[in-house]
Amino acid sequence: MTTLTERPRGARRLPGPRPAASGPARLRALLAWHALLAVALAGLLIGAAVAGFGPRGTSGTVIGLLLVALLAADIAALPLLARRRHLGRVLSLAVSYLGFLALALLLLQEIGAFTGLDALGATFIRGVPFLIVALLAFVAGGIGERGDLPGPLARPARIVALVALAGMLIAVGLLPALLTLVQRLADPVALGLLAGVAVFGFFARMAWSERTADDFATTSTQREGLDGLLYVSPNVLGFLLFFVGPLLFSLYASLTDWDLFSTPVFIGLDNYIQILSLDVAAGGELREGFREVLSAGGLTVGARDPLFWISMRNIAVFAVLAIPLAVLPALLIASALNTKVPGMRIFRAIYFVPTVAGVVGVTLIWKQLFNATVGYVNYGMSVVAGWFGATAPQPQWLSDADIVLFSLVIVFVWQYIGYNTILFLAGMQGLPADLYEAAHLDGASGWQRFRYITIPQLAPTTFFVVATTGIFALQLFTESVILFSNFTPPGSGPNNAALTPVGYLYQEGFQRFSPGYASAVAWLLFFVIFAFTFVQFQRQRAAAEGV
Amino acid sequence: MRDRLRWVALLCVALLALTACAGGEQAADEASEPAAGGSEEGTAAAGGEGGGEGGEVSLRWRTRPDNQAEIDVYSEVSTTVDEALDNVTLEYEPGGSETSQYQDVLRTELASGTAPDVFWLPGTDIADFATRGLIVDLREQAEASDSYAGDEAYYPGPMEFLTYNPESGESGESLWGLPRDVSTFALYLNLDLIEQAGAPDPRELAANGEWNWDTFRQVAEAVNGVSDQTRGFAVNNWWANWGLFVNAAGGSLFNADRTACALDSEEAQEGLSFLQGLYEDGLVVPYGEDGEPPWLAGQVGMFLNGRWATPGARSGADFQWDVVTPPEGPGGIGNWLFWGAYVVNANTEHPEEAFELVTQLTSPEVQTQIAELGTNIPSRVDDPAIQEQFLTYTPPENNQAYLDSLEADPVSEGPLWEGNWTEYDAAAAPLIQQVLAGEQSVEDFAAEVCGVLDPTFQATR
Amino acid sequence: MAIVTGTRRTGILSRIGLYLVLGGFALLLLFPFLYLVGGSLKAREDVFSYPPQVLPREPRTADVGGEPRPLFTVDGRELALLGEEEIGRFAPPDDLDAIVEVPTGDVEPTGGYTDQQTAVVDGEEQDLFDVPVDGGVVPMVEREVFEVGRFAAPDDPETEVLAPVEQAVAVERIGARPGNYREVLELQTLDRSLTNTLLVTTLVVAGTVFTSVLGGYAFARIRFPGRTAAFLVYIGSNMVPFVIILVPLYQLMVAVGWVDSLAALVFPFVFNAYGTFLMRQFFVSIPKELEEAAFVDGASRWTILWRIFVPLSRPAIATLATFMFLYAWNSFVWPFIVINAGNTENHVLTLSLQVLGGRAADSPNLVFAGVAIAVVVPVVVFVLLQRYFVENVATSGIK
Repeated sequence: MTTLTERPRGARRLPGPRPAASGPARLRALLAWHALLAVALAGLLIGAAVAGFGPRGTSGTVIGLLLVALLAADIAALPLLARRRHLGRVLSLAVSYLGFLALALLLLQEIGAFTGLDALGATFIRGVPFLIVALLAFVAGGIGERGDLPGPLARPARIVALVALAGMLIAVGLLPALLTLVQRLADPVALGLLAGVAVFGFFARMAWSERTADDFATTSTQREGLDGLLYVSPNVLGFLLFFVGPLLFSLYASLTDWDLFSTPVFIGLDNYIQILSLDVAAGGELREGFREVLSAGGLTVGARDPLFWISMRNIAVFAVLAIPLAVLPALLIASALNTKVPGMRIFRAIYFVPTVAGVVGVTLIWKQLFNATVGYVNYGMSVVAGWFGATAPQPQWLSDADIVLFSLVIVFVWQYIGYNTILFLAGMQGLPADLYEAAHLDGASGWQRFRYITIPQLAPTTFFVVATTGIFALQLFTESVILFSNFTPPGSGPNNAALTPVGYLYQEGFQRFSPGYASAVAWLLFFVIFAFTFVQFQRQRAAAEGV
Repeated sequence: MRDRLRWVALLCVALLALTACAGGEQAADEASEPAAGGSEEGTAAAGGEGGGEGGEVSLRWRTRPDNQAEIDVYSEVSTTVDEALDNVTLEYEPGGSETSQYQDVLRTELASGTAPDVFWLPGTDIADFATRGLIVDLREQAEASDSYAGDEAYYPGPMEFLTYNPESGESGESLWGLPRDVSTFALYLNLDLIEQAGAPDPRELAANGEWNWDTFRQVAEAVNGVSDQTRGFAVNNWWANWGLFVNAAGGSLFNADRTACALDSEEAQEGLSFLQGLYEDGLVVPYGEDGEPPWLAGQVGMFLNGRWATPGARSGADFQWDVVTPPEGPGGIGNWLFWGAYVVNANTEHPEEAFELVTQLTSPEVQTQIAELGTNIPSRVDDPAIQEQFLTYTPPENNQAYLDSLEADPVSEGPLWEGNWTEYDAAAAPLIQQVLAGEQSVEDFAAEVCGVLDPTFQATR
Repeated sequence: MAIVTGTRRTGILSRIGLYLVLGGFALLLLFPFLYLVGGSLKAREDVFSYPPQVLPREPRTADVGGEPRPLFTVDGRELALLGEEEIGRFAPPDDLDAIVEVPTGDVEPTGGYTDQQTAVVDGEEQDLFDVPVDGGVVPMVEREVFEVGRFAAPDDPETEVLAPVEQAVAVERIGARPGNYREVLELQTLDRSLTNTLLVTTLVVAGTVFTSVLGGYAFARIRFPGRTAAFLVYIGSNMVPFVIILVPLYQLMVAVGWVDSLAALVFPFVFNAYGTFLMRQFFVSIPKELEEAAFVDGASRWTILWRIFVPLSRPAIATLATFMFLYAWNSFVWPFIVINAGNTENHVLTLSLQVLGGRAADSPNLVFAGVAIAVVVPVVVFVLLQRYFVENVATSGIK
């Protein structure tokens, strides 16, 4: 990937691949290449369809579609290239470049470069000391630096860091790894792929070269556009492969009945209908197939899929408690921290620690603290109550269906309150000082300044904080699965009181093996999160207009 | 400064390059294992002759150990069995722990073709794996094998489930696996606390035939009175715990042919009412709280658990302790017979060798080796010497309590061939929780429960 | 004048109040970590003590007769426990209330072991024992037997005190067991998980920074077709919960054979919309004049990016690196699904911790030691880099 992105720079300076050839000769070579490729691709596709080789199933379909698209682009490029149209060059570049990337990745996959990471895991420990030295040198190099002026240690630190990095590469076994890699290339498939990479790369570079650009009378805007596409390409392609692709597939899967062991069967919106079906009965019996989710004031609400609604109810209660508790105190603490009193930096660092420390670890700690009989929380409460001569309640934090959501709220708020404080603080430090000075002169009290300047000015920060906290809160899963691992199914808590939508999604997708149904749950959850963020955004906009 | 950022870039590039190169070492590893390389991805094409090109067959097998000592023992077992079996190379992998969704992970791995050849499975999950076609019916291999000791060599309870043929509905036909071990519940006693409470020793009560629900409750009350923190009784959050009281009252979780819920029976209600009463009076560590920490902290008089709790008590209990059989209810002791079995992955390329491995893993020698650890009770009944040997693995002194329960007609845990055990368990858990938390009366529970649970019996796939 | 001192005084007072509030809050946030460190140094029996203790403790011993003996508080005095003894309560059969307490070792059956004599008490036949009383020997029946400890002051081991052991309180001192850390590293191959996590995290951070810098630069400075639309998609994708793509991404990993490989933890996560967004926001704020001058000098885009933009964006890069570090280090759900449970060689820390939490449920001291190891690395990295992170750029995510 690296070498590729460097290529445009080199291409522009160096002479083209065939310096002596005239423009039309280069053009003829490109035309011949695309014609040949079209024949090869078409042959491959027809062969696969008729003789039935190649991968089957979903991945086969996807690969087939991608090849068809490539073939279409390739054929479309031919007449445009002949007429020296800019679009022709773009298509030619796209086909050659994408083919080059795909084959290069296949080659790496074939010689086991990706899964080779596991082997690296075994030897990486030998490089860790070097890595630590390099990191320390990096930090040390920053000591005493001001703005753009390097500190006194910058130079020696740089040398140390470079030596340490080189040491690391050798220590983890770079040289033997390189050797075996070369050996692995000596395989007919790998060699074939290597040849493919070379051919696609050659024509990609030819189409990219400055001379070809001149042949097509490419404007500077067009050049810039191509540059831009090249720069975003690693990012966008990865994004398409690992995010957009799976996302679209998930949308499709949510419309199917699928158990992971068989092929998906398209069933339209049935999953969504099953999940969302509700029935309200006033005193009477619910319809067949509906089970009670909630009953209040003589009204009974039933659902076909009560667990989904229970998880939604849980997460709603959780969010209503956890979001304000993780945001409002953070705002107050941030304004307290926003002073020039010495020692504030230490407090800021401390407040961040719970966020930094990692969910799994901290939840395991809380699990011990919450133990109803030998845990610290209840003991602490009885000690404090003892000071006042009272007896404290001893809630069963991990087993009482009415309490468990509060336990989750406590862990969540504890984790994010410091993080939110830092975000608010950063926002406050960006506020214009003259506004406060003017208010001070007008005799506004501290509270008034906070209420009428800080809060409205901070609206964008508040939006960001509330939105991120909300997105985290609505996706709650790890905390519950660790605190309530001893329930059936794990994470559901007593009487399903700790079941979250993501937990339910996990159950459906990986325990009951209905990934299609699970995907439908996921899309509904996405809808909820989107709605939440959208409402926050509207409120912020309204607040901003009100000021 | 500028330069320093260039090294960051350099570092990125170097590391990315490194990943690309890293394949080398693994390549070298793989080269030494000729058979392994090609077979990794092709899961569907498992049939046929597969792999046996005169070389060694390699098999992976897995259990769910609960601590390092168990991992060590099983690794040792793997080495011994490896030596005993010609042509087979074994690789033992400890898979997760009790809380890490062992079975879910297995299903996922089976779906993606990365599951081991032989694995241990809790008795309740056999039907689900078998009816989904994920594990092999080993009857054919068993008949061809010389080393198979026969169905009668194991406790009959588990074998009835393991030999069930879902198509004919008869036991004694198929063979889905062989039981690794068995266990029953015992009450773990904090003798110091019971003595301090001035309560009678449950072991003596049991010896005199006076160990029943009444005396059990008396002991629990006495221990509860020692201090504010002490509790008479504790259980973990698991179906078998409340199930024991249903059994002991003469009830059952299912009807006789295990095709419908029977938790609404008079007897089941009686058992749950007794247990609910214990909770109501605060004699028990609240249901849902893990019972083990307070028990190990010396705050619980009696802790109900299986043989697997023994190693924890040995290393963690700072007090005198022993075990006793659970108290007798109106319908007997009603103890469970817990078991798990070694089964064979349906996609394995070497079913014969895998079956040999399974028989080796359940051989008397290996069973004794594992039982010595304290977690397991051997599953074989064909040699009384195995049981004799088990009695010597103390503490607890009263190992006989486990064997007594095994002889007192225990109820075998087992899969639901006509239903979905996981669903049943998941649907029952919240209802039981409500009863034991005192939020619902046993009568209301009985009125509702089978309406909720019966659908899980139609959910067979 | 008075007014001035008054404000100064309230200034000092309010400052003390501020420190108290902030300090109390900090203590609240840090308490679980204190508990963690304490717990990770405890012996196994010590974890389950009630009332709970933060600091690890061990029983204190004293040297008596050349051997260490545990110390207990008996009747307000610190005494060493020398041993335990069985004491019998004996009474003559004709006067059951005249009880004497004698160690059972000091009595012998009346008539010898082969021909023990008995007496009938309360209608029941009971064995008779010869009990030494005031120099003589009286045959008595045994009423009760109980255990007591023999205690003595360490400086005067001859004078023994008998007292029930259960009522004696063990004398403890603070004593750490760092061995837990070694033990937990050997368990579960936690050391391998640690290096795997380091490797995965380093690669994710490096890869994300690289792709984000390129992408962010293109979005910020280069006009190309579809830029606005693509950027909107990127922003929108921040709202999509990861769990939506869980199942398909898993299927993709199955298709390319990356299940159970560290590759599955690295490559899908180096193309990060959030990182691109963050870098773009920062690059946009860099004045155009800087690069225009370089362009005039004939510098290429590549040179401008790495020589001008990247050095200026140190805070943004540090922020992104820290975010990705925390994300990769702490991610749990994905490794939990994609890494084979049996293959501990490819486990990452979060996974090992979760397994450990179940497997060593009865030894929380070991779980704590494992958690402490997992927690300390991100905290240290954060402390080293927080200068870049907290101070400068928490805002750039907001703008």
